[in-house]
Formats: sequence, C-alpha cells, structure tokens
Amino acid sequence: MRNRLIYALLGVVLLATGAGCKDPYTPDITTRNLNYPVVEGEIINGQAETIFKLSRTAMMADTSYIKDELNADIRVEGDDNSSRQLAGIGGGRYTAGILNLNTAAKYRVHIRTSDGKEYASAFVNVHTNPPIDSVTWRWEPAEGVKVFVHTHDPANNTRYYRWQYEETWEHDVYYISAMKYVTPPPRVIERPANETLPIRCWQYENSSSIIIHSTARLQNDIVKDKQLLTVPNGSWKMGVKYTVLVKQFTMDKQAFDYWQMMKRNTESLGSIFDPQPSESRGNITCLTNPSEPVIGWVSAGSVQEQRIWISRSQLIGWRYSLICEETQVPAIADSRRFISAVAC
Amino acid sequence: MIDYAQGAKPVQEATLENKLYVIGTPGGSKDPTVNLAGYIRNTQTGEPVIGVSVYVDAPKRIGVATDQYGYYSINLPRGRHVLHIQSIGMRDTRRQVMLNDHGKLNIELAEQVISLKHVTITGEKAGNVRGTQMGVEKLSIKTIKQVPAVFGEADILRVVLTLPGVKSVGEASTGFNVRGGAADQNLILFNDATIYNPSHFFGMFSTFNPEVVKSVELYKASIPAKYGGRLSSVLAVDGREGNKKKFAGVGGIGLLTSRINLEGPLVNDRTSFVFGARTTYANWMLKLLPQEYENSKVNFYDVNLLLSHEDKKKKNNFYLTTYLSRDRFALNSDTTYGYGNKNISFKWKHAFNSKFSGMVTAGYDFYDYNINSDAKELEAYKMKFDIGQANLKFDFNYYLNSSHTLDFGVSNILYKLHPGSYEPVGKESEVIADIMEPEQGMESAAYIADHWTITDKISLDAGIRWSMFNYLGPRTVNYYPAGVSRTDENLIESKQHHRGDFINNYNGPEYRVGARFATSATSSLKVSYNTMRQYIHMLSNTTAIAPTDIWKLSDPNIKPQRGDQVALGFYKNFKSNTIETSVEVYYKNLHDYLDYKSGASLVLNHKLEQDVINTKGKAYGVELMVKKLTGKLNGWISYTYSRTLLKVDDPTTTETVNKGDFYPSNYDKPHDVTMVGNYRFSHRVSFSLNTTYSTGRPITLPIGKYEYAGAVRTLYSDRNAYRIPDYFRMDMSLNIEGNHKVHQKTHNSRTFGVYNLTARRNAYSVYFVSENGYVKGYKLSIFGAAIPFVNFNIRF
Repeated sequence: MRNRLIYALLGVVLLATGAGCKDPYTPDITTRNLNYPVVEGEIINGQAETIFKLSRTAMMADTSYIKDELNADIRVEGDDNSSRQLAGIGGGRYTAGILNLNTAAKYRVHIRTSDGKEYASAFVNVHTNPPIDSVTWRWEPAEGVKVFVHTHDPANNTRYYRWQYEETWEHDVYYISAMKYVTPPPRVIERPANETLPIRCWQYENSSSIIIHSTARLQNDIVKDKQLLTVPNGSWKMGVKYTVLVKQFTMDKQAFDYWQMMKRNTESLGSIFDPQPSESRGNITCLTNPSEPVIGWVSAGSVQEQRIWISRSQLIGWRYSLICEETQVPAIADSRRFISAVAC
Repeated sequence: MIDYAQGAKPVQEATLENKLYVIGTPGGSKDPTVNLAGYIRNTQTGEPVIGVSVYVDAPKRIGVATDQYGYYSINLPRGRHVLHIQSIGMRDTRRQVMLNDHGKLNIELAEQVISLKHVTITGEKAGNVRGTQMGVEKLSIKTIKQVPAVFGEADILRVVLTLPGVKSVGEASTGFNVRGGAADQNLILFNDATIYNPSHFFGMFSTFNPEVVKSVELYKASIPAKYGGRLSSVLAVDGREGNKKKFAGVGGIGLLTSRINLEGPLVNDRTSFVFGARTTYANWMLKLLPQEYENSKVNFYDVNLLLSHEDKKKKNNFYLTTYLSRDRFALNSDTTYGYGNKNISFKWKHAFNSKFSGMVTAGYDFYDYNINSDAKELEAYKMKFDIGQANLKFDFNYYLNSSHTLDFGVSNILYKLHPGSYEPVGKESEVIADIMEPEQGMESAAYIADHWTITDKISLDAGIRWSMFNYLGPRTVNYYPAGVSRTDENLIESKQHHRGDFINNYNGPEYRVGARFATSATSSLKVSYNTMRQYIHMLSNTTAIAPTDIWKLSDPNIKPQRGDQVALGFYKNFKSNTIETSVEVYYKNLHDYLDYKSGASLVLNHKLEQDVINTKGKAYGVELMVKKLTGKLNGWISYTYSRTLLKVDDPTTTETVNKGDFYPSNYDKPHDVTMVGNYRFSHRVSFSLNTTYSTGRPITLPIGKYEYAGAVRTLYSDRNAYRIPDYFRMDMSLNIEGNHKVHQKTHNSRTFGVYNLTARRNAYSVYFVSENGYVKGYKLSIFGAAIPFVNFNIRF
C-alpha cells in the first residue's frame, strides 16, 4: 500500500516536472569489521532434500566475494531428542538428505562453527502445506509473459506463503564451438573432428526476490493470481522452450514478518514515505555470545512443487530470434567455401 | 465614557493629528491613571491592524501594541498626551488627547506606499526587544508572497521553514520540526481551528490559501498559556477580514493552480466577507507520465469563507471561519487515495469595558482519509480513518493596571476518532471487514497568566495551565501489569467500558514563565521556561508525514507526551530599530515520545500498545538571526546549530534501537543557514532571492551485504548513523506590478522566477536496492534542475 503511494508521489513529481533525477550514489562508509553469520534454509519434511547454506556478511564496499562458512558442524534437532547431522557439499552448503519429521514435534537447527562458536535457532513447528492449485501464465503484450500461482487451503489455516522458482530454458548456440574446455589440467583444446558440435544448450536461473503473500485479511485462505515473475518481451528465455518449477513454502506470522522486513529493507525504494530500515532479529541466536547478530529465519514444513512448460510455438509473434552475424567477404572462391562452412 | 470614532469621510491627516480629542469631562474621574482603548484599522479596507505600537513619550514612555483584532488598551496618567501610533507598513501618525476619564478612541491608519519604506515583516517596531515573549516569529502575508516558491505558488509553510529552528525532512514534505520536536507536536491553527494535515499533493503545497491569510505567527519557546495540547510549537495562521468598504477580488493563474478570491462588505463598515478558492489542474502533469499511468488522476482544492461582523456599539465582534480542503489521487484508476480537512469556527469577542474583554470560540474540526482499491476483485477493499474534534473555549483579557494584565480562560475539546476500517468492495471480494472500535476523549484546560511590568526595565510573564485528559467509553481496553512487557502472554484482561465511562484520566500543570531585562533602550535579555503536555499522537513510522498517518489518543496504556524547554535570548536593535539581531539558546526534554517496534503495523492494529516503545528525547541549539525590516533592501539571515537525540528508555520492551543509546532523530540537521532577501527597484519592480544550506538529514545506511534468497542483500547500520549529502538551494523571483493608477478597474501583477537556480541535485533520499543480485545505491532528487515559473494575478 505504501509502495503504491511512493510510486504515486515519485512518479508524478519526478517524471512530471521532468526535473527529478536518480543518480548512482556510493556513500562514504567508515570501515568496520562486519562478519555476522548468515543461515539460510528450511527444514523440509519429506519430498525434498533439506539443505542449509552458511555464509558471512561482507563489507558493503568489499569487492571480494561473500565468504562461505565451511567446516561447520550443523544438525537438525527435534525436541523429541532426534538429531541428524548435515554433510558439507561445498560452497557453504550442507545437506541432511530427505528428512521424515514427526509433525507433533518441534525442530531446530544447531550449528557449531569452525571457530568454536555455537548457534541455534528456536524450535519451530512443522507446518502443513496445501498443494499448489495451478501455475498459469499469460502474455501481456505490453510487458511480457507473466507467471502466476494459485493455491488455497480448505482448512483456512495456512495464511502465510512464500514461493521460489527455478527457470530453465533451451536455446540455440550463437557460434560454432570449434574449441573445448577440459580439465585437468584446465586448458582449451581443439574439438576433435569426430565429436558432434553442440547446437542446443540449456540455461537456468533461480528466483532472486522474496515472493511472499498473506491471506490473513481474507475470509477464505485463497491465493489467486499471485504474480511470481515476468519474462520481458523479446527475452531469449522464450527463444525455443521454457520451463519454470515453482516451489511453495508455508510459515507462521513471525516468519512472515521477518521475510517481509527483509524484503522491505532490501528490495523496496527508499522514499521518505517508506518506513525506516529497521533491525530485524531472526530466530537464530548465538549461544556463545548472545549479542552477536545472526541473519536468517528457520522454518519447518513440507514443500509443494509444480512445473509448467511454455513452447515458442505458444507465443506467436515473440520477437526474439537468433541473429546471424553478417560478415562482409570478397566474392572469391575461398569466400564461398567459408560461407558454406559457417552458414547457419 | 465618550466614544470618538472617526468617520469614513476623508479627513486631512494633519487635521486629525493636530485636533485635540477630549476624553471624558474634566473631573470625570478621580483615578490618577485612566484607561484608553480602541481599535486601529486600515483606512482603505477597514481591516484591523495587528501589532501597532501605541505609546506616549512623556512624562515617561508607556507603550502597548494592538492584539490580533487590532485592539489596544493603554493606562495613562490623567491629562494631556501625545499618542504616537506606529506600525510597519502603515504611515506613522499621532493623536492629541486630553484624558479626563476612561474612554475609547478608534484610529485609522493609512497604508504606506513609499517605495523607500516598503516593509516586509509586520510586528511591533522594537517589539522583539520590548516584549517578554521569545522564540516567536511573525510573518505577514506580504513577506510570504515575496519569497520565491516552487512553481511560483506562494506557500506559507515553505516560508515558515526558512525561519531559524524550523526544519523538515525533505523538499516535498510539509511536516515541519520545531526545535527538535516531531511533526505531530505542532499545533496548526487557522483562526483557532485545528488543521490536522496542512498539505496538498503529498506535501508539495500547504493547504493555506495565501489570499485569505493575514499573518502567521509561530511560537517556538514562550508558548502563551492560552495554547496547549502540543509539545513543540503553535503555528497560528490568522485569516483576513474582508474589505469593509468596497468589493474587491483577485484572480490568479499559475502553473499548477488557479485561484479566485472575492471580498467585500455585506453591511457597510460592519460586516464583511472573504471567499477564497483554489483548485489544481495538475492532471496535465500526469500526461507526461509513461503510458502505464495514463488513467491516473490528481486533484485537489480548498475553499475558505470568512465572515466578520461588528455591532453598532462596537462592543461585539463576530467571526466565522469555514475551511474545506480535499485531495484525491488515483493511480491508474485501481487505487484511489483521498484525504481532506473540514473546519468551522465561530468567535465572539465582547468588550465588557475598555479594560476587560472576553472571547468565546466554538468550532468543529475534522480530518479523514480513505483508500479504495479494486485492482483485484478478490481483494478489493476500502479503508478509512477519521478524526473529529469539537472545541469550546473562553478567553479573557483584563488590563488590571499599568503593571498587570491578566489573561485567563478555560477550554474543552471532545475528540472522536474512527481509528480505521477495512471493508470489502464488490460481491467478489473475500476481504473480511475489520472495523476498529471508535475512541473518544476529552481534553480540558484552565489557565491564568499575568503580564507584570515590574519596573521599566524588568517585566515578567507568568502563567499556569492545568490540563486534563479523560479517555471515554465505550471502548474495550486491554490491561497489563505495570512494569512488564505488554504482550499477549501478559494480558490480564480485556475490559469493555460503556458509554459515558471515564476510563482513565491524566492531568498535570504546565508552566509558562518568561522574563525580560532591558539592558538598554535597544537591547534586552530574556529567559523563559515552558512545560507542555500532549494527549494525542500521530502514529507514523515513516520519515515524513504521509497522508496515511493516523492519530491516536492517550489511553491507559499510552501515556501523554511531556516536554519542557528552557531558553535564553539576547536581542539588540540597530539604526533606530530597523535592524534587529537576536541570539537564542535552548535546551529541551521530551518524555514518552512514541516509537514503534520493528515492522509494527500501525494501521488497523487492535493491540497497538504492544507495538509501542516509549522514547525520550533531548534537543538543544542556538539560533542567530539578523533582520532588516525597512529600506529598499530587506530580509533576514539566520543560522542555527541544533541537535535532536532520541533514546529508547522503556523498561517494558525487549526491543531497543541502537542498543539503547541516544541516536539522532530523522530531522537532526545540525547546521542550517538561510538568507531571504528582497530588493525593491521601484514601486513596481522587486527582486527576491532565497538561499538555504543545511546539513543532510540522518539516514540508516547499508554497511554490509549478505546473500539470501537468491540475491545479495543489504545489512543496515545503526539507526540514523549516517547522513545524506548536504542541502543547498537558491531561488529567485522578479515581481512586476502593473501601474498603480488608482482609478483603473483592474490591477495586475506578474511573477517570474527560478526555483533551484544552481540546479543542484539535492538528495531527497538515498536508497539501496538489490538489482540482478547486486546491491546498488541511488541518490534521488526531486528538483534536480532549475525550475522556471510564472504566475499571473489580477486584482479587481
């Protein structure tokens, strides 16, 4: 609601006067050592793997990468005294495999980092998750292809939802790949003559914004037309064939508030009609040093998934095409041979 | 008592000045001192003139100034006197009087149109040095109109923002902060009617139509005992009285608004009206927006009607003020915002005798906002909030003798708020209606203040105001044990109070003390101490006032805000009072100021008390000002150093801000320099220049980054630990009046100007967003270019 207000204000004031402007800005931040742990993941009941990612905050000005937290001892613990250790799979990621949780119990994540500090989340309930009714898409000629999710809980008690998605699309290659990268040792070699040239590739991308929705203000727990993403007009994603896998998570109000706060602090515009960015404590604390901030919120529950496909043939008039690069060549015999070799 | 009123027929000024007015018959009174009182009016328009100095020089200097109704009352020894009458913008005059008894003398003043002595600031000459009040700023509408404003629309609140000690969080916000107070701690009165939201168009303009305003007075430190209910300041906007002699009008066209003003007598010399209306045609702006906003609409208007009447015996004056403002904004027609003020106030001033006068004020003030959204049928809703208050007050003024003047009175305000409703719209809507219970309260106060002239050199204003607030039923109130955090677990009971129940009561004294020591004829030292209480709070967790901010009454869980301020000032005038200089220092404490838990939702919150954190604050600063009042070149320069710091000190909350340390408030801008200047080339052409610099406001900056949910996200610093870049702006305008031939039917004037002359891209805000997985910072400026404007006015 406030966001709309901001757009109203900024839209009118800035664009209409033609005088408003937006400039890149890099503040002068006095250096401080920021190294708070970041815990991301959900304790998933059945169906999918429970994976946690541990990392550290980095300085704003740092050009270096965000550091992964390696060699931690991380466990999912139940208040029924169950415990499962997660195995490191590189990049700060740890997996517990498929967990079959006791829905009557509460679970938490317990972490001991390699520097000996101990962290634990609060014990959380295992949430149920109603199946996704459908994932639909619509091509709005002005903007592009929009993907929507629809779901409902007949028991009316889910109320707080979050979604993630994974996009995968097929595309044709731009260039003939006469070279090849191989390891070990890492090197580029000429592609052997007997090997077929790659002409079809797949690219994938995961959601990078927080998509949450609450039906707390509605009589029935129905989510209709919740927009997840837009594939803009002319995008190469729709060049051949496209698919998106939608994953649905559910949570309680506190978790929802935390996600909303994170979204507001990191994704919305900073107008003076926006609430101030505010400190938000997650449900993970450092047991060794309780004043140390820890970023992240751990919830437990099942995940619901649904995948849809969109073919180029379903989008008549999609303005994306693989453009042949034009090369000017003199009309001599060599050139003709070259053209017949690279024709696309 | 004998009443001399000068007739409307033109009389040579010299005749009036040399004529001897005999008041009473010889031997009519045995009192050594007698009282002379009356109204001072403008010869041309019949409007009362405020702040006129009326004084005698012999046997000793005795002087008074007219009040906001143009009324003066002076105690003089019996005998012959030369009464000097001086006012800025008016021709000085004098009257020869022979005082035999108490009596009345009304005086008319002619406007001064000599270019050399053009005046920009009304107020008693030397009033700054002689009065006991301090921290008072007074602006006439003439001054306000001279200051260049964006789009050329004269704007009262923009000019108030140029005064020392007054700050705002940003360019497009009308909310202002006085000496470190919050935006809801200002009592904004238009002819004694409370205006809850003084802004149009999300704060781009103020809702006061400059054509119906006579003057504006801002009390920052010595707040008179008759005012109360807000901690930081009182902004009293006085409406004009209509021309009592002939009909007149003004029509104006600007880039964004057009306006019409009519005024004139209803009964000659006794009843007059002023009508003003403004509307916008800013929709053209929206045409410039990208196509997706093509169905957007913006619209606002305001209407004022002011009536004044004086009875034949000139003992009773009646004033009726009505005010209406409305803003509507539709964004691509799926969500509509609307808000507005409605006010009516009626005043009756009665002079019991020349020493004792009283006034009754009754009125009703209303503010509401609503949001309608039908973007999605399933979630279509309408949301509303409103606040209404009915006021009644009695104010009396008694001139006891030459050393004591008493002000006393009582007042009562009844509040009724509908704190919010959220209802479905249309058959498809699944929205559950959520209607908050209305809340009621009553604020009462009684006050008495004495203006005591102890000696020629020392005078004292001492006042006490006892205010009381009752929270009234019907209303369900949640109770929690004292000293523990207010949570559902600690909830003792939810009690239903019935209609007519006095649920709880807060009351306490407010002290208003000021003293003046004249250090010489042209300089003085003043000190003041004030305490204030505030029972109504604006709930806002945004930096600026937003139309969606709502108000809340104190209740058993939410304590009234309290504040106290001590101030010290030194005033010195030069060049026969044409240059005024002042230094004021202040220190202020705020208690039980409201802050909110992280992520608290303030609208439609049924357990708001659980999300409130009590905060205390301190503010201190020094304000320097030099004003030149007359001459071809006039204006003022002010410098302010001030700090405002807040600290969470609520033992019942587990959540703190910045670990419970003091942190700068959103409007803590330590350095502020403002220069407002006007140069009059001739009768018809004048040039104004306005320059302002201030430290950037504090913000909470991202200092670190982390990866979460597929993107790099920002980690924020302690609250308000950094600042946006400093602010600098210069505006100019050229006012050209048509010729001044008296007998032509219409007079016109044109204003050309440039806002933000240097085209500096002042940061309005700085924000950081994750874009494609990276954190990027942007600086946003609203007026990032020089904006030329033109304005055209016709008087008829």
